[in-house]
Amino acid sequence: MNFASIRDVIPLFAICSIGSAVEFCWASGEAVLVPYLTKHQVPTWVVSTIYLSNPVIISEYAHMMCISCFSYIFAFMTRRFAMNTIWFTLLHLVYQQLQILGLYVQPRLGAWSDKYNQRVPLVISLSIIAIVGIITLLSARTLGRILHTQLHNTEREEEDYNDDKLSTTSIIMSFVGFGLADICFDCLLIPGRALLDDLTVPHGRSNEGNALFTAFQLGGRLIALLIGSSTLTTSGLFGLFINDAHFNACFVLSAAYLLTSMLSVVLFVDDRGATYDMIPTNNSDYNNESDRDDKDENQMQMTQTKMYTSSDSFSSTQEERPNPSHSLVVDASVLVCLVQALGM
Amino acid sequence: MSFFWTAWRGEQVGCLDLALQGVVGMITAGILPRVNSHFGISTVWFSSELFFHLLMTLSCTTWIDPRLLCGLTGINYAVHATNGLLVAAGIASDPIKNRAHIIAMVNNALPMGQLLTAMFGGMIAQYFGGFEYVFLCFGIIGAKVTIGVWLYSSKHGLIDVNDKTHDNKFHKDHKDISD
Repeated sequence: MNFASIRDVIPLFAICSIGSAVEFCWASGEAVLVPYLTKHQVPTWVVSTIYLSNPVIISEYAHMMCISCFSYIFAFMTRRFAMNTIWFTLLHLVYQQLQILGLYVQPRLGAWSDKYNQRVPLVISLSIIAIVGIITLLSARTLGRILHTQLHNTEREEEDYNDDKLSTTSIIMSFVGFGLADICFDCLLIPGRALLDDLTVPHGRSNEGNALFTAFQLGGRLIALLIGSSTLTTSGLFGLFINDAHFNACFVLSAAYLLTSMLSVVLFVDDRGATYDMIPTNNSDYNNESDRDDKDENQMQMTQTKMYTSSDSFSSTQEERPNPSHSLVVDASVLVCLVQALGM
Repeated sequence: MSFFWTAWRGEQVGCLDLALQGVVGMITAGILPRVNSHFGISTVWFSSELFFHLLMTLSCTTWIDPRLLCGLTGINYAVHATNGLLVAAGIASDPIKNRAHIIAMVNNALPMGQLLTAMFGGMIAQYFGGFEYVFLCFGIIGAKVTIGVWLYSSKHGLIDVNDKTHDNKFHKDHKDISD
């Protein structure tokens, strides 16, 4: 692989755009919350302190009453949907469960991806679920109101709308939508990085490839921060959105970015899984020009481009070369995760 | 860190700090492959994590500009996202067959870190009366854990500190196959 070649760079950029889109979604979500609270003249630390000092939360859920990043999400949700502390507490609990669900889901996804040796289907499915989640979040107010009216057969639709209060259905919908999208953002990095390694490791460029992926991630974050503070989003995409203009604009742009990155991966990336070109490491057999001429050309091409899948190659090598330090490897993995977690 | 940072510094100032962090991170990502090749992936990773924790502990001091602190954390942002995966792939017995699984396990540190922060961050902030003390406490604990893991892994040979890239392992395995 030559990074200078356009043919090689396009798929690489397409893969890295996944990381960029994920960071864009994260950062734009963060950017949305703070301006919304500012609009209501509520400093974020005051909001968090109020929730922290809420007697209901302190007495009932002391172990979870933390000023955390989640507090801002729920602060935003609470202000947006005019929820009371019961809803806040309930949603906080649900969100914690979603995070724990994420802890379970991610390794399973990685294992499935390795088992079926495919990455792009995961990228497609996760991106679609994330976009569905975002759409659910954006449309929760309207759809929730309609569903609530149909389910309960009430005629308070107009009244609820004017009061800017969400029905129970709307709250559940918006929360499920946000949770789905958030888990998918986390999980999208798995097939993204795996695709990158599939492409770069056989060519000895994983170091550069991973650094490029990280640079794209940070670029996505930077773009989101700049767009989040620009008139493009604060005006609600130039007047396209009127109610909660900034919120809607940021999430619509996030969904569009995610969709674009997904399409670029589908169009430009050849997903071969952990399959790699066999590059001859010992060329002594081919040093002699006359010998090389004698070789059947087709056979040589097959040798040079023979595809080895991971399961084929390692099933034999692992038997011949047992790994005596398997238990230590597991310990080291745990230690790596610990350092990574604290580095967040 | 981001949410606490904007809460501590204020919205607009905090966003500018984080934008600077992004720029520094992008520059770091650009030079990271060469740094890794020179010093070794795990050495760079451990050093960067330690540097990050040091910066966090410095947030309580008044003689250093918080914007500079935030900008410098961009270095670890780039290293953290890149080298953690490379180190994990390097210690795995089969980094190709279990590629996505390894990435998923390391990626799991993402919600794990958020959960740790959610569990203890607010309590620390409330007890000491400021967000900067959260950075201080997590910085001290993180530095201790990082040093401990570094020493332990070096002593027991769990992580090859001289490893330049796990591509070497791939090609070593590759050579075994071709032989």
